[in-house]
Formats: sequence, structure tokens, C-alpha cells
Amino acid sequence: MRVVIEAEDVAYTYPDGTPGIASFTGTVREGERVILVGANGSGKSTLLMLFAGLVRPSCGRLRIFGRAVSPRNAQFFRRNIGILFQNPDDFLFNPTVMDELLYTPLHLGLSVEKATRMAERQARVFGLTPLLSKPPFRLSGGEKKRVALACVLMLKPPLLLLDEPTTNVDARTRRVMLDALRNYTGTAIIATHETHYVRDMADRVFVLSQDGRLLREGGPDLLDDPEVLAEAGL
Amino acid sequence: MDLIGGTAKTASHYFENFFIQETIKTPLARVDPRVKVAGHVALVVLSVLSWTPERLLLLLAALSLLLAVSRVPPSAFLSRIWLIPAFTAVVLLPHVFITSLNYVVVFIVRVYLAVSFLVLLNLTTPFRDMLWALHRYRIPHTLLLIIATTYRYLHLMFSELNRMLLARESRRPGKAACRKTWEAGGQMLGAFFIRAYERGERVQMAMSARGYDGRFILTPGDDSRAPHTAAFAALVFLVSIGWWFM
Repeated sequence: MRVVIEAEDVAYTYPDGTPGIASFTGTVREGERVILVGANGSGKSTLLMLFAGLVRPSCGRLRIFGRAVSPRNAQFFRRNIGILFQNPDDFLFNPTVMDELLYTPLHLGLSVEKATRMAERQARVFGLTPLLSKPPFRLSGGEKKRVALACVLMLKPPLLLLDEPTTNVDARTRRVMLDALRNYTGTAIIATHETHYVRDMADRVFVLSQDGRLLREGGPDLLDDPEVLAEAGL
Repeated sequence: MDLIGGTAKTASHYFENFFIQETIKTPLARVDPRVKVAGHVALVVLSVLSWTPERLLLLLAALSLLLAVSRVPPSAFLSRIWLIPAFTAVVLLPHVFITSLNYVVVFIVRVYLAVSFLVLLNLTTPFRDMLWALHRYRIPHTLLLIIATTYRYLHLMFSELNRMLLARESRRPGKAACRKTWEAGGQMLGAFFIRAYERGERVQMAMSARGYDGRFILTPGDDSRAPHTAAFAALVFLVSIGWWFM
């Protein structure tokens, strides 16, 4: 199977000097479901930002779909990578839910008619139809997460990156999100603490250490190993 | 709650709700946003140019009619307009003795009318429609983007400030000395600015992740109806004609 992400000793340090990720080496193949676990501050979110091509590694080699992270590949990455941020308040910035759904399709050149049809269909799937004219900041936490995931999955990106998708949501929202994930057929990387919700879908697990290194890599049974979890500070 | 905390909390509540449109489907909400923006701007201009009681009464009648048609809850309307005319009244109070009471009253009514028409526009126009109307009037995209971002993040910033104030309140055992209160207020303001800045960075990243490439794409709403638009335009036209011949 084709390699989607290829990382070799990738590190990232924030501009203020805070280490984001110290060293990560690994590959993710097409169609794989990978769970990323680690203690708070271990660099899970940073790693997802790197995999989304939103930030460039401070050092190391990172190729996504065989392409280096650079501004000239930005449009390609936006078409092929969907990322869900941990906090939906950072992710939703348009005047209404409908505008949120239309945002990416219109920026990627789809016609208003086609984008509107897609948005309406997506709203039905995620139970967002009654919310379409509402401003996102007036929604509940769970509704915001549903809107955000609906936006991310609109164009069915081949690579999906999810940062804590099931955190702080009610049971119904969690069910909708997990159903959407099960129906998704592409490559997915899920950073989460709530591994019990997604472990049945996982092919592989990356465990990050507290200092931002890849501690262990393996199958879902790694999540049952108390020694590894203790070493990762979990 | 101390003076700084109380003031910050009141102000953040006020501004958090000031720019939030009600989503009531009123006849005024059915007016084409372009016509509505132009009409309200015309009414604001007429308000600030009016110095005679007849003209002011005509505009007050127009405002009353629009308010009745709009079905905006009086509480929502009053909560948004009281501050500016009240502030104007305080500023103009010495003029009762310098010029005349008549001058002060007329001035306050002009301010009241101008603010009321703008608030009515704000309350009956979804934000995306307002942006679309401004876009159709060829307002530069950069300015529209700034307006859109400001609108979006005013709410978030003030809700963040509210959360910080609540957290501070919950962790403070009693009333602190005045100096301590000022120090804590300054530190909180600093923390608030840092949080707002960091949020801005995350939002910029989210925009990039979702395909933002410097363009600002707007789509029109589909709520406008020709009869409502024609009726509103006729009202503004008649008021303007009446105002001119007074």
C-alpha cells in the first residue's frame, strides 16, 4: 500500500522556544487507522499540525503523499487533508453554520450551487439542518464539534486527522462522530485520550513519551500494556 | 465583586450581546439587504441633518413604524440603544445653561434616531447578508474580512473575558485591598490579551487548514422578497420627500 506519511526524525520547536515534538520517525500507509496516544503536552496536537502541512518541521524529513511541506503544496494538502482541531471555537469562524459548511468547497473552487447541495446533504447526515442559519458561537459544545466534523468530512479527504474528537461531547454527538468515522474509508490518524471509543477501529498505535518522542509503535494491544502506558505517563 | 471586575463584567455582557442579530423572520428581515443598508444609511443621514421638531417627528414616526413592523422585542432594542443617547445627554448637560434646553433635547433625539436606525438594521439583518450588501457596494474585501473577523471574535473575546472574571471571582476569598485589586486587574488584562493573541494564531491556522488563500468569498442569503423590499424602499422614499418639503 502507498505510503501517505513518511516522517524521519521530525522535530518541531515553537517560535518562543517551547519544544512541540522532539523526535518522531514513522510511516502511515493508505487506508490505515492510527491512534496517537500520549500524556498532555507530549506533542500529539503538534504532530497533527505537522501531518496536516500547517507547520514545517524544525528539523528532520517529512513527506505527506510524497510531497514536502512547503507553500507550493498548500493547495494540494488542503484538498487531500482534513484536520479537526481540539477546540471547535478555534475551528469555526464564519457567521452561520451554512457558511462554515460552504467555506472549504468554495475556497477550493466549487460552484455555489454544487457546494450548497453538498452542504445541505452533509447537514442532514450530521443532524445540523435546524442549525444552518445559526451563528456557530451560539451552539453547544457538542453541536460545535458536529459542525466541525461535518466541515472536515465534506470533501471526503483521503487523509483525516482528528484531535480529541470524542472529548467533551454528549453521547449522541459521540455516536454521530463514531458512525462518521466508521463510514470513512480513507487514512485516519486520531489523537485521543479516550482510546476505548476508537480502539476497535485502530490498525496501529503510536505512543508518545512525555518529552515528545515516539516511545512505542504497534497494534491496538499496546493500549493494554501497563508498562508502556506508565512509561508514557498515562 | 470589586469596581474593576464589576465594570469589566457589565461591559463584556453588553458588548457580547450588542452585535448578535436576532434570527426572527420578520417582514423587515425579508427586505433585500442592499436596499435595507442603503435605506437605513439614508435615514441615519436624514436624522443627523434634522434640526427642526417637524423633521424629527417625521423620523420618529418612521422609526416607530419600522419597529412595529420588525417585531423586534422592545427589551432587545432598548438594551442596545440606551448607552449612547444616555452618554450624549451627560456630555451635553452643561449646554442647558450655555445654549438652551431645546438645543440639548433636539441633539439627543438626533443621536437617538441615528443610533436606533443602525441598531434596527443590525437586529433585522443576518451578518452574512450585511457583508454581502457591503460587498455589492464595492467595499474593499480586506475591510470586509476585518469586519467579519472582528464580529466573530468579539463574542469569543468577551466570553473569554467573562470566564476569566468568573474564575477569578471563584478563587477570591474576600475583598482585597485597592492596590491589590488594581494589580490583579492589570495582570488579568495582560493574560486576556495573551489568550486573545494565541487564539488568533490558532484561528489563522484553522483558516489555512480549511483552504483560506487570501480570498473572501461571500454568498447571498435567500430570504429577501420583492414586496417587502418595495414597501421598505417606498417608505424611505416617502420619508425623504416629506423631510425635504418640511
